[in-house]
Amino acid sequence: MAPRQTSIQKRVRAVILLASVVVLFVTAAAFVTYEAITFRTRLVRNLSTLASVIADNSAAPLAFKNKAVAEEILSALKAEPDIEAAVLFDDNGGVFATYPKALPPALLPRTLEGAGHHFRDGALILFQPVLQENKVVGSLYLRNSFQGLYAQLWRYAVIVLFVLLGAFGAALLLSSVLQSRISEPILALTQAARRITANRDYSIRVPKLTEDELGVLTDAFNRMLLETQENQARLGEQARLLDLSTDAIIVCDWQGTVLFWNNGAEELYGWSRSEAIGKRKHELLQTIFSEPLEEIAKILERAGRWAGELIQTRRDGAHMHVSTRWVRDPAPSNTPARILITDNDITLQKQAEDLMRSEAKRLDALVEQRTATLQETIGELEAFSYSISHDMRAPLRAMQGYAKALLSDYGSKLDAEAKHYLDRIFRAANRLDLLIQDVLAYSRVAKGEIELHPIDLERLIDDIVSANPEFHAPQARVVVEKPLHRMLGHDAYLTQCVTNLLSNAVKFVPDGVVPEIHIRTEAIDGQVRVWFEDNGIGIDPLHYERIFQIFGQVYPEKKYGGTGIGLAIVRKAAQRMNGEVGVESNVDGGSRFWLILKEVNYDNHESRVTPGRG
Amino acid sequence: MVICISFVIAPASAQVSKEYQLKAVFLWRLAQFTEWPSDAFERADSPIVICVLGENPFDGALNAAVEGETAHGRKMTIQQHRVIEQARSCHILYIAGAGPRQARALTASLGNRSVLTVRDVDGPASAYDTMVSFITEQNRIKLLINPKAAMAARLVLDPRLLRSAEIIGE
Repeated sequence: MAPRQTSIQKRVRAVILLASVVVLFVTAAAFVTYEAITFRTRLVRNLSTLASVIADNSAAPLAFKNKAVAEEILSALKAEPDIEAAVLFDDNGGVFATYPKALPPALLPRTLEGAGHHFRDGALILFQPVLQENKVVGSLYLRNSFQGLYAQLWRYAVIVLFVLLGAFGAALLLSSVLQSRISEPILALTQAARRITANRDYSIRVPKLTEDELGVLTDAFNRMLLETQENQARLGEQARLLDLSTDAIIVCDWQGTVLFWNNGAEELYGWSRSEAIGKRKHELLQTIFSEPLEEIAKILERAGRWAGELIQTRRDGAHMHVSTRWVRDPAPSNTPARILITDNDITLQKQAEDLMRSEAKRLDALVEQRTATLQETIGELEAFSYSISHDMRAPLRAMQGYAKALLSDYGSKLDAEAKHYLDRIFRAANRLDLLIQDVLAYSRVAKGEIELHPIDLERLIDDIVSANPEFHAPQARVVVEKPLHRMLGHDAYLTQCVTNLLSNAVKFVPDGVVPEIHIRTEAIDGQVRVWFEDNGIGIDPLHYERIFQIFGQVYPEKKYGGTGIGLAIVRKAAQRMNGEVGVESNVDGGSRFWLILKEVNYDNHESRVTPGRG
Repeated sequence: MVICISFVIAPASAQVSKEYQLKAVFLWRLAQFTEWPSDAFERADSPIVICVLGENPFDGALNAAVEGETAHGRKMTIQQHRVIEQARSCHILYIAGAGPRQARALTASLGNRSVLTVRDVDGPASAYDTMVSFITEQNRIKLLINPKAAMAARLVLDPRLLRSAEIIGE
């Protein structure tokens, strides 16, 4: 037995002992009570049986007056020590024989009574008639003292006492064995709980000793420990995270009193944790709210969260912009609600925003100013280039005219070499003229206001083809897949576009190939796309953009001719008609130029469109 | 065979002695402690016949004693006989005033009949002639019983009777 018993051991043992003793005591009491109650009945029955036997045996001695035999019969009562006296009366009521032989007169019955028994003077007294042939031949008197009853009860008491002592001892021994089965798992739990409370060591586990409810309890305890351990680890992690955060993380009660203040808050506001806790946050930081505090409280109550911007004052007096987010903590029902707050310094961000806004404004103004200057310069340049080009044609015509005149009037006087030089001058002049014409065309396209009308593209193409011999057989073949969609455009511009695209198509073909151009249209989303598909040399996708720039010719001019301005004019014209131009091609499979313009809409076909410049 | 008996004539007295009053009681009470074979009775309610052979020493005491008494549910009647031949249907036969030889002859003449024979004797030595003998010692009457003789006559004696008497035999 352990020297110092814990209370659960004592209690379990006490329960076992108490139960044992109560059971034993009740059993013994019931037994003794039963004995006491039935003793008299049994005594009477035993004594009656004895009396019957003796009376029966006494009939003959009485009949033949044999006192000696009668006394001998009575002396058999020696076997019953509780029988104090026996008297045999003859039929006249005289004493015939007694037991013991020398019976004290006090034990003699005062009167001879009829058959029956009485409890009297601490003894059972019994009268039994002696019958022979149904006739009373005498009477037997027996006196049985209660000494036996008392002695037996006393014996029972002693036995019960010993049984109780023995059982108590046995229960004591058993209980020390049995209590350990219940108390050991509980003690293990208790010890573990003490150690955990003392050391906050949640890695402790309780060994499972039984498979019963205590085992289940132990398992549940261990599971809770595991969860607590995990929670502890998670809490530690979160606490470290909280301190890692540069944001201020603050917990307030519903009145705004600070309950928690992390490292971030210390750094952000300059108030230490011990200074901040217990103070009202908005008083400490002289908070300027963007909306009334009562409104915020209402939103928190309703939605559980609120976010906004605050202006607060650091400990050193500096004002700062703070982006804040508040969450009403769903606290357990019996504790008052709390507010979890994260504050994020956005002062720098605010300043940057302001700076950027003013800078953007400044830049906008600058851009506007520069654009205006540029526009002006462009206009001047365009006017300049137009007038230069225009003015250059007069001397160029003179060069052409005089070169021609020289060749025709003095051709016979010139040798072959001089003729060759003249021819080069004449061709160069022609080329320069073409160039100037194109530059003029480009300049025309690029300036001035135009009006868009519905255009009959089929008629326009027919006119162009019939006016230009190089576009029809045998030099080339132009196939128009009629009908073509009608579109909004400008006659002159569109003629320029189509002519330039067809010129390109017939120009850039491999040697010995007859150029073939397919023209078709498709409607897409209120627009019309015109396709020009040729069987030419095609264009490398690398050059798709370049070919639409002025002098963006890809191939050496010697081979194919051209000024390198044609596609630039097409793009410009397309842009002036609010359209687009583009190309798709394979190097081997020819090119597919496209032109997108507005589809004719009868509601607005008369509307004036003012295209932008450039 | 006719056996002649010589009787001792007792002195006539008006008052029967106390001794014979007691013997009369003993005599009928023997019936209560003796069982006869069933063929000893003609009918179920036939009385037990107690006979006195020879001079009747009981006078009226025997008649008075059996008055109203029963044994084995049967009534008892008293008969007085002179010769043994008359006494053959008796159940108890008290042989009065016969000497030992005479008594022996009388009982022998009864053969194995179920008759309980009784007589007075002076001492145990002469008690073998009848089944039951009365002997007077110190003013007390004792019974001497010869169970073998009774058994031979198919009479069953109550053990209580045997216990209250003195048993004789070899």
